[in-house]
Amino acid sequence: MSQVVVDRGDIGTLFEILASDGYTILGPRVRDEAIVYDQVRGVDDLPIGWTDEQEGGAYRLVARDDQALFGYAVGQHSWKKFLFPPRTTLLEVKRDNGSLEFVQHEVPETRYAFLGVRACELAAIAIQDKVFLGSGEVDHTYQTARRDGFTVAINCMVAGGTCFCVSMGTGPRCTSGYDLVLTEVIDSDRHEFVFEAGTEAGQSVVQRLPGRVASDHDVVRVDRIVETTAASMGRSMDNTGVKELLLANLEHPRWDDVAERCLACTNCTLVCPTCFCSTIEDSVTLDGEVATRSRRWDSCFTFDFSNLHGVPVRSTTKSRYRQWMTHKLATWYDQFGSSGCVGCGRCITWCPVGIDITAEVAAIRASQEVTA
Amino acid sequence: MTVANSMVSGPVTEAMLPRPFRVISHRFETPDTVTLELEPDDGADLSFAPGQFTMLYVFGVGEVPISISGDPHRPEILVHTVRSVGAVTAAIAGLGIGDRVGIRGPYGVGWPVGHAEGRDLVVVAGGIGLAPLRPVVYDVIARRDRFGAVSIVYGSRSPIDLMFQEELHSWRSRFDLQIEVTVDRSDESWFGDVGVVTGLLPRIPFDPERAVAMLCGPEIMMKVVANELETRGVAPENVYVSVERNMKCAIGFCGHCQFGSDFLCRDGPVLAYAQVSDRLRVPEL
Amino acid sequence: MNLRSIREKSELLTRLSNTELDLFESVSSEVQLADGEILFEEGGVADSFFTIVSGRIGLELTSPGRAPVSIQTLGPGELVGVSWFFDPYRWNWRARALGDTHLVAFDAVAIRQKCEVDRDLALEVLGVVAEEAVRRLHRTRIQLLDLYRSS
Repeated sequence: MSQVVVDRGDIGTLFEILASDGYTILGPRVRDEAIVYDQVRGVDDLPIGWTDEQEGGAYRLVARDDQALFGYAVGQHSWKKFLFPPRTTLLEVKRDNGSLEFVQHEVPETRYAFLGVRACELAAIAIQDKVFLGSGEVDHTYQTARRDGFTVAINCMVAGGTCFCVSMGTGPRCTSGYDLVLTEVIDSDRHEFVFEAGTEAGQSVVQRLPGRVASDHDVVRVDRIVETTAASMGRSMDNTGVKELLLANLEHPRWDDVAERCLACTNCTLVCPTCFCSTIEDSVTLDGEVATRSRRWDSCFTFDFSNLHGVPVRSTTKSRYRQWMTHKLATWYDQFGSSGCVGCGRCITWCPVGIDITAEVAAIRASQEVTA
Repeated sequence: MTVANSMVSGPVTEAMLPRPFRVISHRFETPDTVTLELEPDDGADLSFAPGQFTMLYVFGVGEVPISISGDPHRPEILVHTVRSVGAVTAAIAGLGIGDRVGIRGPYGVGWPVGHAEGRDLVVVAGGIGLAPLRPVVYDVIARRDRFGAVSIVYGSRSPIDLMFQEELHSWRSRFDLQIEVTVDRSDESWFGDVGVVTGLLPRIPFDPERAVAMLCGPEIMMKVVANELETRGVAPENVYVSVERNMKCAIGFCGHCQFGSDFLCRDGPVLAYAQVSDRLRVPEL
Repeated sequence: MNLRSIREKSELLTRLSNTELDLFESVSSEVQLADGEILFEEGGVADSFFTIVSGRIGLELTSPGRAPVSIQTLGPGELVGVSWFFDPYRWNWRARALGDTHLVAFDAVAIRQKCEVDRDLALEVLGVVAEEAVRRLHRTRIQLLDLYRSS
């Protein structure tokens, strides 16, 4: 599909079109000294002129020397907070004269437009599609949000200090899974956005945007931006044979080493855009007549996650870290046909002690090469 | 919409929505284990394969996976045998006739009864592990001529912990089943065998080349029995075990029941020993 | 009794060579016990050992104020008796028939004497006895785990 170039001054039109199409627009904004995803009503809500500096266990906002709208990598939020909300009411149970009535909780029919979805995040959503839509049963909250949603992806103009999407083959260029993809182009004499539709719905939006048809020069400029980003990844991970590597080393001393550092705080699983574990909670009204069953995010790092008859199967931090990492990088292939890691780097950045999944893999790999 | 059409077609339904069932009978098998018979309020049969389980919900307390212990040829009555080990199972054990519970399911992959047809069948159960295997025995008895030699070896903690005693008695009276029962600790009332279930295997008639074994009990017991069977010439591919882990949703979403690559709720609970023996040796997997 | 007819089913006999089997047969006799009959008593002289043809043997200990309780039972094909091979050749347990039980008894003194002069035989018999002892130890360890308790 043809590409259209929209000037920074006209970008507000995108918000107007999406709003008039009935979408609630969710996108990046600055809050609590971070770039988070929440409702955005216009351009002014975006993190204009901000970027994020990231390292293991460190995240800080820094002012850019330009007025970029999307000049950052990713924050602690991912789109799963809208597709697979941290808390979801599943059903209500009404007790009446000894009988029980189970009532499905209605999912709000909100139509979300997701603005500023990174390539790694498109990959993460594609992975969660397999979990919640493609493995037999269908999760109706997720299904509703995906069915009615509109995705505006963005090609990254910067790589974060913990990014490694290139290693995972998920970015930085957006290649599928979007209705619309845009690239922000900032040169000394211009500030523009190159739009390309990925679906008919996206095309219908592009047609209504004020802009000009992209020139060959624009296309090359987009390529250059993506190449520059790809070349500046903060991390890399050798992903070859990682499944076999980890599964052959389930009792490697490195797990003890990482367990010395890991606080089992669950941060990595909460910020991970593909982690999907949940638990079910029951509550009852004070009169004891109505019970509610709700789902909330859970983490394989919690002590009681693996409880069997009141005793955890994985009682040590070592076994829980191993479960997380071997699931993410190894058993995920058997379950869903791909790695569970998209290389977004969030688990590295938001780990309070800076545990680095790429370094952990490298350590186990290095020990194998020594003994091999 | 950017998701494949095939993934979002069909009605949006809540897979977690149970159906109300009514308790129609309640009996203690042992001091801490009860067998409940349940009937659906909506009258729709709950057909199941031996080894499958349901999610059983008690109002306001919670929901747990419980294997079906009833007769697969009588889907109009749902039978569960539950040992009281936690808040929800204690609440289940405390249910009375007429009480309502919620049921979802059946879920999971059960015992390979079809694979056992035309072969000798060795059923080895330990403790509450006889409950998920009882449907196999019902099924085999209903179609007895399709199987070779059939034996049931059952190990229990002590004589008062033996479940399904009337049935064990009636099965034992049949000439086409060999029943062996042993306890870890005997008492003065007990004139049967004492010791672990592996000690009874030498008495069991089976041709190792064409035998299928189904094991259910504590993991250590299943490992020991599987190893003993292998020593006696039964290939691990023909030995099946039922593996238990924490389970919240039973539909592959919650992640709790993962055992290596398997989601036990849908890939298990019954798995070939050949497939899981390595994993069963890794502590805290 | 012709031991060749039960050889396959006996964990002891199946390990013996034909020559050894002939030797064992020459010092063997049949034992038929009714339910509850005692095969040997705790503390008794271990001058024989047995292989079970049919029926079961329970190993028990007596204790004041308690009826004797089986701690382990042995069934068809299994070896009864380990202590006969080791000094001071006394039984540690009482062995009682559980139901009608048919056994073949072997003269332990004769086999021990033979082992004194035939080291190959001694090694073979030691292997059988040790294997049986290890198997029972393994079973006992599993029993000790109390696997079926409510956690």
